[in-house]
Amino acid sequence: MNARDAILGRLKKAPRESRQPERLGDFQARAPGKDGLTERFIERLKQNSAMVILEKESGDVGSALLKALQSEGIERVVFTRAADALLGPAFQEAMQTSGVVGTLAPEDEEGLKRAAFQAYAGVSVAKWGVSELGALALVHGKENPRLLSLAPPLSVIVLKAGSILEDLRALAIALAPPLAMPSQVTLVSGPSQSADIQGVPFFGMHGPKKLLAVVLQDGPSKEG
Amino acid sequence: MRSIPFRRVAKDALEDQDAQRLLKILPFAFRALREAALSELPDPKGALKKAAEIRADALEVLPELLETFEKNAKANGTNIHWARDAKEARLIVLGLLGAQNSKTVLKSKSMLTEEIGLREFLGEEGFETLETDLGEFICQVLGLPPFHIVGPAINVPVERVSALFLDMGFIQGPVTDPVALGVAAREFFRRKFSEAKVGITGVNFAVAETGSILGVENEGNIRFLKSVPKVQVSLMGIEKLVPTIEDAFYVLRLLPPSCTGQRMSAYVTIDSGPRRFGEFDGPEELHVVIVDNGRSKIYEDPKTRPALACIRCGACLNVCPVYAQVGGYPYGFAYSGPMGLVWTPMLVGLKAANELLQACSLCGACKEVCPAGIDHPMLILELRKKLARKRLLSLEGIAYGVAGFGLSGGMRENLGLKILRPFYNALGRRFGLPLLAPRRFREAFGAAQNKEKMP
Ligand code: SF4
Repeated sequence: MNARDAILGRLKKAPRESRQPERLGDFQARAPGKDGLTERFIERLKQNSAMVILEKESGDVGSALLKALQSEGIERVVFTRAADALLGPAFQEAMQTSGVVGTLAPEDEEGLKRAAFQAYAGVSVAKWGVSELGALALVHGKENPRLLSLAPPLSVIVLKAGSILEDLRALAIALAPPLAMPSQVTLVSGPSQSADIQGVPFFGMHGPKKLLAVVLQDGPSKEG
Repeated sequence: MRSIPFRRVAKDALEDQDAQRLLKILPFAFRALREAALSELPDPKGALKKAAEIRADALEVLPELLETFEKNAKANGTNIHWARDAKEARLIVLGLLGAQNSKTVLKSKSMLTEEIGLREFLGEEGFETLETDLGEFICQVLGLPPFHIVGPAINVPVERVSALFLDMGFIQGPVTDPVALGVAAREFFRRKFSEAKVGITGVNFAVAETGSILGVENEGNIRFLKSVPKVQVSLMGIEKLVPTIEDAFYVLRLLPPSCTGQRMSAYVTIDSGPRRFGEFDGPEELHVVIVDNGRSKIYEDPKTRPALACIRCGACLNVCPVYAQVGGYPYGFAYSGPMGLVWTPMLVGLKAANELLQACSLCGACKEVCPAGIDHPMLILELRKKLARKRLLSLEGIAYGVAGFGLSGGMRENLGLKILRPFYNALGRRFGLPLLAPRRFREAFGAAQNKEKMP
C-alpha cells in the first residue's frame, strides 16, 4: 500500500464523533463603520511601524511620494508595472525632474532579481487593505512581482483607499472561490523584523528596513 | 529513541545564570504582550473558543480535508507527496534535491523538519543546509537546541554571537550591539538568497478548499525562499488542514497575539501553486510533503486526538511554571513546554519520555491560554496512565519471569503470582489500574472443586 492510502486509511478507520459544529459568532470584528475604515487602517499601519502618505487620487501624489523618497535619501527606484499604471504619467514626469532614477521592473527573471536586489526602493501595489490589522494584501503576478516588495531596503506599497476592507473575514470573502487563487498573496503588516538576539528588536532583518504605504483616496489631500 | 534526560538537563539549566536571567523576564514579557494584543478583540475569550472549535471540527473530518486539499493543490500545479514516517519524508526531500544542480539548500524554521532530523540527514548526504531564521541559524552554528519556540537563540549572550559572527567574517571586530549584529547577518543572507536554488519551508496552515498553504513570519526569509529559488519544498504535518480560507484567517488572527504578542506578523504568504505562466519570480516547482510520522496513531485515539489541534504558537510555554524555571533545553526534542509534554511522548515513545511526563504540576495555566483548545493536563494524565499501564505490563512480565525462575509449568506460574500479586496490586492501586484478581481462575476453580468434594 502506498503512503497516501496507508495514512488516509488509518485516519478513516479511527472512530469519529459526528460533531455538531457550534455556530459561534464572530468575536474578532469590531466594526469601525465605513467612514472609519481608512482612519483605522492608517492608525494601525503606523502602529505597526510603517510610514503612510494619504493623498487624493487626483491630487499631487507624485510630489508627495518623491518628497518622501528624497527624505529617505533614495536615488534608485524600481516600479512594478501595476504601480506604474496606478501612479500614472504625472508621476513619471515629476520624477524625471527630481533626480530620482525610476525604472520599470525588468520582464525577465535574472533582470528582475538583479534590479530588486540592487534597488534602494521598490514600488508595488496592494489590491486590498485590512483595516483591523493595518495590513496590505498584495496579489503577486506578472504585473506585481514578489521581489520588489521584499528585496529593496524601502518597500513602497500603493493602495486605493476604496479597497480597504474591514478585517480578515472580508479579505477571505474577497479571496474565496469560485475565483481562482493567485499563485501568491502576501499580507504585509510592517517592515521585516527580528528580535532573535537577546530579544532586542530591529527592522530589516532580511526584507525591507522600512515600509511606506501610499493611500490614494478621493477627497481632500493630506499627509500622514 | 534513548530516554530524554529531563532532570539532568534541567539541573544544568537551573545553574545556568544567563538562562536564569532571561527566564525571569521572557515568559512574563510574552504574557503581557499577548494580553495587550488580544485585548484589541471585542471578545478575546469568545475568539479563542471559536478558533478551538474550528480546529476541533477540522480534525473530525481530517481525512476528507486532506483529500480535498490534495485535489485542489494538484489542480493549482502543486506536487503532493505523502510520507508515512520521518525516514520516508527525508528520502522524498533528498529525491527532490537530487534532481537539482545545487548542493546548497536554504531553509526556514520548521518544527516538523526538526522533528524528522532533516537538516542533519541532508548534511550526511552531502548537502549544506542553511537555516535562514536568525535565531535558528545561531542555534545551527553553535550546535544548540532551540531555547524557545519564538526565539530559539534568545538566551545566547551577545558576546557569544559576536564571537561567532567574527569567526564567520560577518564583522571585523567585537560588537555588542544586537542590532549591529543583526544587520551584519543580513548582508550574509542576502547573498545567499540571491543565489538560492532550492528553498525548504514549513507550513502554518493548509486550506482544503483552495489547496493553499500559509506561512507566517517576521523576518522575510520565508518570502525569499518562496520568491527566488526555482524549487520550493514545503513540509507539513497531516494535522495542518482547515476547511476554508476564512477558517485559516480566523485562527491566523489569534496566532501572532498568542505567539509574539503582535497584532499580526509582518508577513503572511498564501501560496496556491507555483508561479503562473508569464510570472518572473516564485518557484517553478512547488512540492508539498504531507508527513504523518506518528500523527495518525495520535488520531486513532479520540482521547489523544485533540493534541493535533496545536498551531505551535508557544503561548503555553510562556505560562508554564516548569518552563519558566528550566527553559527549552531539558525537553530534549523539537517541542518544549506543555506542547512538548503532550507531543513528544507520543512521537518518541512513552518510555523515552518518562521523565518528561513528570515535568508538570497539572496547574492548567497552559489550557487557559491555548488558542487550539487543548486540555494539556487531561492529555498529560492520559499519557501518564498509558505509561503506567505499559510499565505494569512489563512488571507483570518480569513477575512471571523472576518468580518462575527454576520452576516449571503451572507450578511456576502459580507460585510466581502468589509471591508477586500483592506488590503488583499495590502499584496498581497507586496508579488506578486494573488489579489482578485475588485468585486466578485455575486456583478458584480448584478451590471450588475441593469444596464440592468436601462432605
Ligand atoms: S498547545 Fe496550544 S498554546 Fe501550546 S503551542 Fe500548541 S496551540 Fe499554542
